[in-house]
Amino acid sequence: MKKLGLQTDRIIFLILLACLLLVGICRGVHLDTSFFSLFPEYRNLAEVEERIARNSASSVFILAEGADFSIARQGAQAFYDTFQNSLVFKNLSLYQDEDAMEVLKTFLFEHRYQLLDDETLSRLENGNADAVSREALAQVYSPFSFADLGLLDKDPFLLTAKNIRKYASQGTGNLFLKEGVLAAESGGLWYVLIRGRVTDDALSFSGRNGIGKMYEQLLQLENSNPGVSYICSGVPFHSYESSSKAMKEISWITGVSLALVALILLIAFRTLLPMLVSVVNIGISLLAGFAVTLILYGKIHALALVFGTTLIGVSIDYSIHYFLNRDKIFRSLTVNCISTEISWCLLMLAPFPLLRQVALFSAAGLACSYFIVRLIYPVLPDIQQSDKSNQPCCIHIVRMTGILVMIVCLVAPALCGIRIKNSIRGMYTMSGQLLEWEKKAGKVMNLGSSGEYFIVAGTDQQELLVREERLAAELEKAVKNGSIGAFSRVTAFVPSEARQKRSYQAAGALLPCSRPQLEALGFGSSARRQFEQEYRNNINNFVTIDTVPPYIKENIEALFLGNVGGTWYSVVFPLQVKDGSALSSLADGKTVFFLSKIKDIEKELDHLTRTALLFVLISYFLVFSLLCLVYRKRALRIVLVPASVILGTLSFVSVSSGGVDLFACSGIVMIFGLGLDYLVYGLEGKSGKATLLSFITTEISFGALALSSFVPAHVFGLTVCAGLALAYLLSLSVDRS
Amino acid sequence: MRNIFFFLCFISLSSQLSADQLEDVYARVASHPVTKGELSQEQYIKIADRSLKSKGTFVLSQDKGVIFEITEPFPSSMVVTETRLVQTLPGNVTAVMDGSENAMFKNIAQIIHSVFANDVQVLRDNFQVSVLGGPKDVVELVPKDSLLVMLFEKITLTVGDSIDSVSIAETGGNWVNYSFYNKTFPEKLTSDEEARFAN
Repeated sequence: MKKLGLQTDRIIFLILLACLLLVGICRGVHLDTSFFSLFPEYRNLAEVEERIARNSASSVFILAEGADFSIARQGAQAFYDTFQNSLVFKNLSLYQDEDAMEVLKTFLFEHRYQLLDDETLSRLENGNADAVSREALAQVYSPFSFADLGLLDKDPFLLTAKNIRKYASQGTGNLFLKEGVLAAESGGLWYVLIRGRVTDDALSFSGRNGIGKMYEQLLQLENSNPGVSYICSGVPFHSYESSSKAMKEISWITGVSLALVALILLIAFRTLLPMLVSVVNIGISLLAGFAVTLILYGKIHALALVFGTTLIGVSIDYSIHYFLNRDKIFRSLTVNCISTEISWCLLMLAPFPLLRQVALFSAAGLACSYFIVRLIYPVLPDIQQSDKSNQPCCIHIVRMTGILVMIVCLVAPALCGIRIKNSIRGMYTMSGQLLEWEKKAGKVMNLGSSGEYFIVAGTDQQELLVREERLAAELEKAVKNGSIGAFSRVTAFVPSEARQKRSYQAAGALLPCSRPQLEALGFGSSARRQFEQEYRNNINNFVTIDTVPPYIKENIEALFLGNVGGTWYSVVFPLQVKDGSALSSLADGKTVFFLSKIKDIEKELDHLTRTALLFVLISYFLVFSLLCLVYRKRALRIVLVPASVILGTLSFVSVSSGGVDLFACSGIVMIFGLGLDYLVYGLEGKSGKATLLSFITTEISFGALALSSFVPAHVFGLTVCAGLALAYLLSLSVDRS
Repeated sequence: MRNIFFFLCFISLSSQLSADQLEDVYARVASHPVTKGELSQEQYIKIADRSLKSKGTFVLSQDKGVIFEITEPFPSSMVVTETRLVQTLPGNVTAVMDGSENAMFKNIAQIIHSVFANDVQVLRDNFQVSVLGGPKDVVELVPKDSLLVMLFEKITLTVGDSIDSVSIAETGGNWVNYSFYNKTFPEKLTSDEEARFAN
């Protein structure tokens, strides 16, 4: 009867597994390579943040470098001609519209009364219209004033000229228009800028990857254009670098882990069957983890797969224990599977998309591996292996050493302290060339963006613009006191309607001055009448976001975020920040938010790490309760081992890495789950060969991960590696009688 | 065919001559480290069909730049250095186009500076240059960049021992003419002038 029940379970499991893999395949393999997916979700502005990230995720800047302008321009032109119609770029722009300045001038002239600058507005509102008028006359008679005198009869107070100067200087940094392109000179070399957005296809990781192909073509372009070098800057290049590194690492970590594990199994069992069956089990478990993640998340990040390779070491344990102990092992296997699954489930609570994917991938894969061992392995022929408890001959020495290590581990936190420290910058290290490129691009363009910005919210466009203007007034003070160099905002180009009305009203103060002004400039009374008429006709000539010319539209595209979930948002970037300490106080957290992404995320991660440690404590009590139920009195005796392992590993990581971060903490969660296995197998009298083999294979998996160049994977692997070694050593010292 | 060959030889020879002559012209200008004198400015506004005239003084330093001081009819001043333009208007209103903050301002400042100082390379980079002989050398500068054309369509300098006049033709038919006269050539700047260039 029991056998029949097992048979049914087996069939159900196989059907479920087949369905799972089928649905996973139908869902389609979508590998996420976006650099932004690495970062945790943030506050309640996730959707707004995503919109900003979406803008940055596909934007690239290419600088063609040459000893003189013509060489740099020729290089930029060659790049543009090569990629203009390629599938890599959604759009690519090199040439600036030659009429752009003329269009801008016409636009500013048409809205001159609505767009008065702060200084002129303040003078007119304070009854100093004469000063404005005198200044304009002096400007007209001044050498090299660059005022367009062709419009002097319609704009005798030079309101347009003031605005042209202001608008032309917005957010250009070191770049300026030269012969129809944006150019910069730095360190004796010339640079010409090409801006673009890469296509989604170019960002997705595949053999046809656009960025990879672009790099190849860049080398050819450099060869065919002597003296030209290209500098690439932008998030897509980082996404490409991190994902291609991840794919390489997955290949070698999986290869090395599998080869070593297979070799160990071959040596241990001296027959091919356990090795082949175990490798097939690992393969199916990896596929199951992959399928579940794809079904639930719709995609999987390349770096989650790097972490996921540790499944090899964890799932092989079940095979080893089965082949050495057969049916006698199922109780401890179940306890171990539950304790490890609890660990992964805890990681699924982290607001870190990457960690959640890793946890789901591993939890699903491990469950699959467990059921394969539980339901499929019993069908296999017997392999004559015995797991004799080969207690080391020097068991007393091991036990004494274990007790000493346990004491050291328990007092270590008191001696060296445990520091929580997360570093976002440390999460990703740029390759030499990309780092050089980014440094150079930053220096050449000098746009001054610091990664800190404000998000302004409003229930409608006008409320948003009014709030932004209020923030801008405060930021002007910061510019004056030198703590920031400048700032970019939507209202520099499109003021609120209220401000435009105020500006128009104030400009009315110029009407009485128009007669002497126009006379001083040589115009008659007809010009004055026309001036007054034009002012009146201009009353409702408001500037709106939809009516600005393309040059301004380009400038505000990245600043105006539009409507997100019924609220309107814009972003204000402080530039050339020298002292940003006071900036956060300008945000009220309700309508104006200050985002210092790196600092805030690090703070959030520190908080998460503390929470994760609390989870470890909770799961410690949960698992301890489970052990109490299963092992009763002995549970109390062995409780010191996981406590020592956790405290010892925390102290080790804190001292070796200068602090415990979220990934080390995730490692602690894993150690807690996996380390318990050794104890449970020991308590079940299955220590010896099986536990040793399982320890070695797990260490191989996590050890390989510790060699990863991706810092979080390295920290996670190293922590688990060190913790498991400690857990194994201490499990040997527990009295198993 | 032969005609084309001679034409090409002529073009190449004349541009070489222009290049050499430009060096000669600016070598003469640069022989005076400091030039001071009076300045008259006449601006023609096509739409009003009238000229606006102003007067003042100037100080040209080969190392530092130029100071234009307009005294009549509305006082103002403009200091041009290689990296910035500082305009002072009535009421002590100062408008600074600082090249260290904005590359476009730097480019404009550098170009205006090069017209008066011995910076032939900047002129060649930004203008089609031609030098016409006569009682005095006439240097014609036509901007290569369409953006510069918005500011000046053509600059014409008349140079004897030093720069005698600068005419700027603007798009739309407006023009401005600067005449420099009663010139003196002191060896160095006064401390006050030094300070104005430094600020």
